[in-house]
Amino acid sequence: MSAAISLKGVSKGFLDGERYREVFVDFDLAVAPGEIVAVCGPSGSGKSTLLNLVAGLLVVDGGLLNLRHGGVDYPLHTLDEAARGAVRRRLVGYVFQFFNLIPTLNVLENVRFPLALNDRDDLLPQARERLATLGLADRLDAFPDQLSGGERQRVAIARALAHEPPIVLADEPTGNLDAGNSEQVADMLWSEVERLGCVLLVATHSEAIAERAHRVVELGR
Amino acid sequence: MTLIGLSFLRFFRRTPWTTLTAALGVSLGVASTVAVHLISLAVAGALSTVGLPHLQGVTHLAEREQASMDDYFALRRQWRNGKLPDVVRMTPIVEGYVVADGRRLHVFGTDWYAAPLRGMNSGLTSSGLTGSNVDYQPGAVVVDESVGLHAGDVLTVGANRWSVAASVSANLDGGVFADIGDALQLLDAPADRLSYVGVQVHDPFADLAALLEDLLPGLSAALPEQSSTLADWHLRSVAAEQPSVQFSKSVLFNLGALGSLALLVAWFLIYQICVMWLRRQRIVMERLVALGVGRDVLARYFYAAVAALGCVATVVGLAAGYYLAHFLTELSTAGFDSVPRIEMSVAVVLKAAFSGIAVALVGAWIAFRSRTHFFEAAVPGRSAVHWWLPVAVVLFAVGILVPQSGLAGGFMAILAASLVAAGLVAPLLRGVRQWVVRLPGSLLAKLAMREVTWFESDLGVAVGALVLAVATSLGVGLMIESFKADFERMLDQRLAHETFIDLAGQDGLVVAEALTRRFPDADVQAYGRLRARIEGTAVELGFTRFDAAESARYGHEHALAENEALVSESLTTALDVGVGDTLRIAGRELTIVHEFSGFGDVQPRLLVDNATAETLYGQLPFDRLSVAGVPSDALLAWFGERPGSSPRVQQRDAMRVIALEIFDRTFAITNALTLLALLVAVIGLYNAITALRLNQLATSDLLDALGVNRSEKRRVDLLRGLTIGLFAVLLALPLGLVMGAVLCQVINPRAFGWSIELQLSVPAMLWPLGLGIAAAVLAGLAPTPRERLGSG
Ligand SMILES: Nc1ncnc2c1ncn2[C@@H]1O[C@H](COP(=O)(O)OP(=O)(O)O)[C@@H](O)[C@H]1O
Ligand SMILES: [Mg+2]
Repeated sequence: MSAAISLKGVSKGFLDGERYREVFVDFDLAVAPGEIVAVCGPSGSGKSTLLNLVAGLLVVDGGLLNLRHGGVDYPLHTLDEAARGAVRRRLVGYVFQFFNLIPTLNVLENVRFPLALNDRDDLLPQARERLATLGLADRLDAFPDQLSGGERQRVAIARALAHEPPIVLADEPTGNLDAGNSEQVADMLWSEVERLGCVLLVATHSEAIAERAHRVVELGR
Repeated sequence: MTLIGLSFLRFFRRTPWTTLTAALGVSLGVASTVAVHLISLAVAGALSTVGLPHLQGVTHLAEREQASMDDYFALRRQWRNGKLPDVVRMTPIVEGYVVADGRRLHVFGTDWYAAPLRGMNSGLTSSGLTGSNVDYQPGAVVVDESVGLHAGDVLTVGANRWSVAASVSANLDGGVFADIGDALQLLDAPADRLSYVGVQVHDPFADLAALLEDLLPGLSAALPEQSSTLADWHLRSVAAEQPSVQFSKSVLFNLGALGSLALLVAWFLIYQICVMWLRRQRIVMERLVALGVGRDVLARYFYAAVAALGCVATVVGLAAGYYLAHFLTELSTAGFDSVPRIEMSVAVVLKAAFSGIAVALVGAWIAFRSRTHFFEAAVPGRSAVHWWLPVAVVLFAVGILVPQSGLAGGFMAILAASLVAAGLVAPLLRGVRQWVVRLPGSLLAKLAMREVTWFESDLGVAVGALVLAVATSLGVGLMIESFKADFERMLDQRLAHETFIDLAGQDGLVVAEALTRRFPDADVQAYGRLRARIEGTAVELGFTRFDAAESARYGHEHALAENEALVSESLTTALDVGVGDTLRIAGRELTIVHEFSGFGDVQPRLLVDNATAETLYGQLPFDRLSVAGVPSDALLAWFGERPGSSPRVQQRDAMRVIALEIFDRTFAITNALTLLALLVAVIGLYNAITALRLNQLATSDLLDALGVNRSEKRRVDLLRGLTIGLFAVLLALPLGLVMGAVLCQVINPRAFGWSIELQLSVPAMLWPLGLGIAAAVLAGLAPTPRERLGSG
C-alpha cells in the first residue's frame, strides 16, 4: 500500500431515530501522496462523513481505512479513540466551513496550537511566514470575533498547515464566503498545499473548486 | 395559549438535569430556612413558657431615681385623669433580697389582689403558653422551683412563716413572688418603698410584631430597643428583665440569618438557570412574538412554569427541612438546655412556600426582565456600575456605623456587602480579561483560563454565589476561631482555681468555714452575686475577696479597693460608660477601674470586693466556692458526708473541657448551615459550567479535530475549575474578612454585648478557601449531561 489514504470495502451508517441508514456501502478510495481530491455530492451524501472517517473522528462499521506516512501504516479501523486522536493530531490538518477557530485564542495562538500539540515549535517561523503570505501579518493579536469571514478561513488554513501534516481535510472551506473571498481563500489553500506537497481532500459544492482538483470523487445519495 | 405554558413545562422535561438541579438547589435553600425555623420555634416555645409571674401582662417598667409609693400614686392620678392615654394598666413593684436559712431569696411584690400572679406549668408543654393564674391568698407566696418548695409547703423567713401557694418555673434563682404588702414585710422594708412601676402600654403594632416574630424568630431581639418616657418616668421594655430570653432570641436571629444564606444562594441559582432557559428558548419565543403573542403573555407562562417548579421544590424542601432540623439539633444544642421538640406549623409551611416559590419567581422575573431585550434589539455591553452599588454602600455604612440599627442593621450591612461583591463578579471578570490574556502558560492552559473571563455571562452569577458561600464560611469561621481564642484565654484566666463548687442554695460562708476547719491548709474563696440596678438597667453584681490574684483573672493588675469595680463590656455599652467613670448604685458611687469581656454573660455584670458589696447591701449571700489545696476525692467525700443538698463540684480541667465542648457544639450548627449554602453554590456552579460547555460545543469539537486527547481535555476542565475557584476565592477573601470583622465588632456586641478581637487565623482561612477551590474544581470536572440546546 503506497496510497496516503486508502479505504477498502468501507461501510458506514447512522442510527437515524429507529432506523439504521447506510451512508457508505463497500466504498473504496485511494489517494496518492500529494494528490488533491475534491469530494462532491448533494447535501447528506456523506462528504463530511468521509472526511471525518479519514480524520479518525468517526470509525468505519466495516472494511479497511489506512493512512500511510513516512513508510508507516496507520490502520485507523483497528485503532482506539486515543490512538486515532494521536494519529489525527500529527498527520491531519482540518479546515471546516465555520467555527474553525478557538474564540479565546488570538490568531497567532490558534496557529501555534497544533505546533504546541505536536511539540513542533521549530515550525513557528514557517507558520509566521505563511500567515504573512495569507495577508494576516498585522492581525496576529486579533481574536476570532474581530476577524472577517475571509480572514477567519485564512487563519484556519494557516492553522491546518502549521504542523505541515501530510493530509489536509477541508470541509466546504469556502461555503460560507462570497465569490471574491471564496476564490482568494481557495487560491491560498491550493498554493500552500502544493508548496508543502500534502494530500488535500476537499468536500465542496462549488464547481470552481472541484475543477481545480486533480480528481473528483462524486458521492450519490 | 396554555400550549405556551405546556411548551415551557415540556422544555423543563427536555432539560432534566438543569430542571433537577434547579429544583434541588431551591429545595436545599427551603430546607435550610425551614430547619432553622423549626429549631427556632421549638426554642421560642420553650422560652415563652418561662415567664415572670409578677410581670404578667406588663410591657414596660417605669422608673425614676429614689421612687416612693407617693410617686406611684401621683403617676396613677395622672393616668386616672386621662393624661396617659396609652397606658392600659399599672402596678407598683418592689424587689429585694433576703437571706433565709442560708439561702438567698429574691423577693418581688406586686398588687397580687388586683392582678393575679401567673403560674407557669413547669417543663415544656406542646402549646407553649399554658400557665394558670394563682389567685390571691393572704400570707401566701409563689416560689420559683429553684427554691425547692412546693404548693402547701411553708417558707420560713426570720420569725415569719409563709405558705407556698404554687411553685413555678420562672427561671429566676431563688425567686419569691408575693403581694406587695407581704413582700415589704418579707424584705423588712419601709411601707413606702417602691422599686419601679409595671406598666402595660397599648401597642397598636403588637399583633404585627407577634406575627413577624412568628415568621422570623428572634426578630424582636434584632430590632433596636426604643427607650421612651412616661410623664417624668423613664420607660424600659420588660424584655430586659429576662436577659436570658433576649440572649436566646439573639442566637435564634443569628441562626435564622445564616439559615437564609442557602436560600440566597439558591436564588442566584434559579436566576442563572432562568437566564439559561430563556437563552435556549430564545428562538421559539422570537417566533411566538412574530406570530403575535404578547411579551407579557410569554412572561406570565414562564413565571407560571417556574412557580410550578418552585412548588415542587417547596414540598421537597419542607420534608427535607424537617429531617434537617432533627439532624441539626442532634449535632448541636446550640446553647439551648434541652433538645427542642420539632413540630410543623402553619407558619413553617407558609414560610417554606414563600421561600421556595417567591425565590423562584423573583429569580424568573429578574431573568425575564434582564434577558429578553432580544425582542427589541441586541443588548450592548451593559454598564458595569449599577444604581444599586451606591445604595448598597450607604446601607453598609449605616448598618455598621449606626448602633441604633441594632442586630438587624448589622446583618443588613453584611447583606449589602455580599450583594456588592456578587454584583461585581461579572464586571470584574470582564475587567480582568485583558490581564488574563497576558498570563503565560501552555495554549491549553490559556484556553482554560481565558474561558472563565470570556464567558462571564454564563459564569458570573454562579461565581457570585460561590463567592458568597465561601466568604460566609470564611467570615463565620474567622469569627468562631477568634471567639474561641478569646474564650480560651478567658477560661485560662477565670478557671485559675483547681476546684469550683456551686453550692445549690447552701450558705457559702457556713460551708467555707466548715471546710477550713476540716482542711486547715485549704485555700477557700467564696463568691456571691446579686441582681442590682444602675440607672434602671438590671445588672448582675458579683463579689468576692478581690485580691490581686483574683483581679488578674479578669485581666486587672491590682486588688480592688473599696468602691472600685470591674465591669463587663456589655455594661459599658448599655450604660455608655468607660474606665475611669463612676457608677451610681444603691446610692453610692463606684469607680470603674477595668473592663473585661464577659463572654457568655446574659446580662451586664460588675464585680466588686466583698467590702464594697457589704457597704451596699449589708449581709451578703455567697453561693459558690473555689477551693485549692484539697485533693478532689477528699473534697467530694467530705461533701458526701454533709447533710443537705448536694453541691456541684467541678474540676478546673474538666470544666475547661466541658466549656470548649459546649462551644464547639454551639457552633456545629453554624458550620452545617454554611456547608449547606456551599453545596447549593456548587450545584449552581456545576450548572453554569455545564451551560458554558454546551455553549462551547463547537470549540470542543474543534479540539477533537485537532487531536486534543481526553486527558488534555480533562486538564482544561481542571484548570478552568481551578481558575474559577481561585477567582471566587480572591473575591471571597476580602468579603469574608469584612464579614468576620462585622460579626466580631458589630453583630456580636449588638446581639450579646461582647465584641471579639478578630484574629486572622490562617488555618481558619485556608479551610473555606480550599473548600471553595475544591468545590469549583469538582463542579468543573463533573461530567456534563448532553442536553439538547435546540428549540425544536
Ligand atoms: N453523527 C451523526 N449521527 C446521525 N446521522 C448522521 C451523523 N452524521 C451524519 N449523519 C447522516 O449521514 C448522512 C451524511 O451526512 P454528511 O456526511 O454530513 O453529508 P454531507 O456532508 O454530504 O452533507 C446524512 O444523512 C446525515 O443525516
Ligand atoms: Mg457536510
